[in-house]
Amino acid sequence: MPAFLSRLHVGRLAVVMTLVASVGVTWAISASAHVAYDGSGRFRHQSHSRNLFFWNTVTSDRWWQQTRDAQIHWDTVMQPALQFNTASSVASSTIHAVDGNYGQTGYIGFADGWGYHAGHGHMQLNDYYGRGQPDAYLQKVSCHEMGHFAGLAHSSDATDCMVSGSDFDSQLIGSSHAQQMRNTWNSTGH
Amino acid sequence: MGEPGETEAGIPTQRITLVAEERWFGSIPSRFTVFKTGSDSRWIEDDPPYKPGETYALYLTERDDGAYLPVAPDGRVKIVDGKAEPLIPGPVAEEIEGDSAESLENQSTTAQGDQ
Repeated sequence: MPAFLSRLHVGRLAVVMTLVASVGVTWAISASAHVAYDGSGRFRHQSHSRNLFFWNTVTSDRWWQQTRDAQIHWDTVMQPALQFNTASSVASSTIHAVDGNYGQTGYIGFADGWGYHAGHGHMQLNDYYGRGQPDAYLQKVSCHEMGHFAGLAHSSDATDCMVSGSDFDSQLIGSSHAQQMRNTWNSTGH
Repeated sequence: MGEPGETEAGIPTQRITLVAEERWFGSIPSRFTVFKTGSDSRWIEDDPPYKPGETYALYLTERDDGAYLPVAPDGRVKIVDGKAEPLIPGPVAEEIEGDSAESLENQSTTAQGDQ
């Protein structure tokens, strides 16, 4: 099997391959202002803070532990430029982690909010896809979504948790990416 | 969206009608529906809205409700002038960027034989 198809895990899923054209949106089932990306497809860049406050109400023991580990990892690698603190309440939090069985949505993790360290957003972790996944993958997802709240877009580096898609080699932020983040924060304050 | 315990209810989603021009393997209706998180104005990074007239190679799995989803975020590959233009950066994109649709089809057919 070609490597890229192995990366898509084609071999263990029921897959249809199709070349598609003539696309038409027929209807939307809901609408909300609270989605991570605006019309440019990127996070909105709002105000800045060196402190992110994390509130974890994840109910799954495995998700909870992996989000906790991801928070500690982010806090460790970003010090002193950026801190990932534990909030004292949901009201004071900037990242609120929740989980649930959200069904076949196509995402396992979702940074739903304002991004770029402003306001308050939700890190949604989808138990539908999380069940049966190894701890390393759950931590990678947690690390990835926290990275969005820290202001990062996707990475093409599979050794960096900000890589999107189905393939990853590390559940942690890449060292060069972390250094770049620290330098940016230290030089600009945001 | 409210506070803890909320579901995905506040997140916009779409059901999009697509027409299959070619089936590389597996069965699918000639017109089918893709479920997508996001809307025409807000979407998940690297997963922009579909637009009429675009062509994609899609690696799909079926949902319980009969709609389809890409098997992974990088299972949606845009085809421009007959060449693959992956939407999401990463290992999959690096492997297939610029490949012809015919090459993708051949690789997919090979994969079918491997299963």
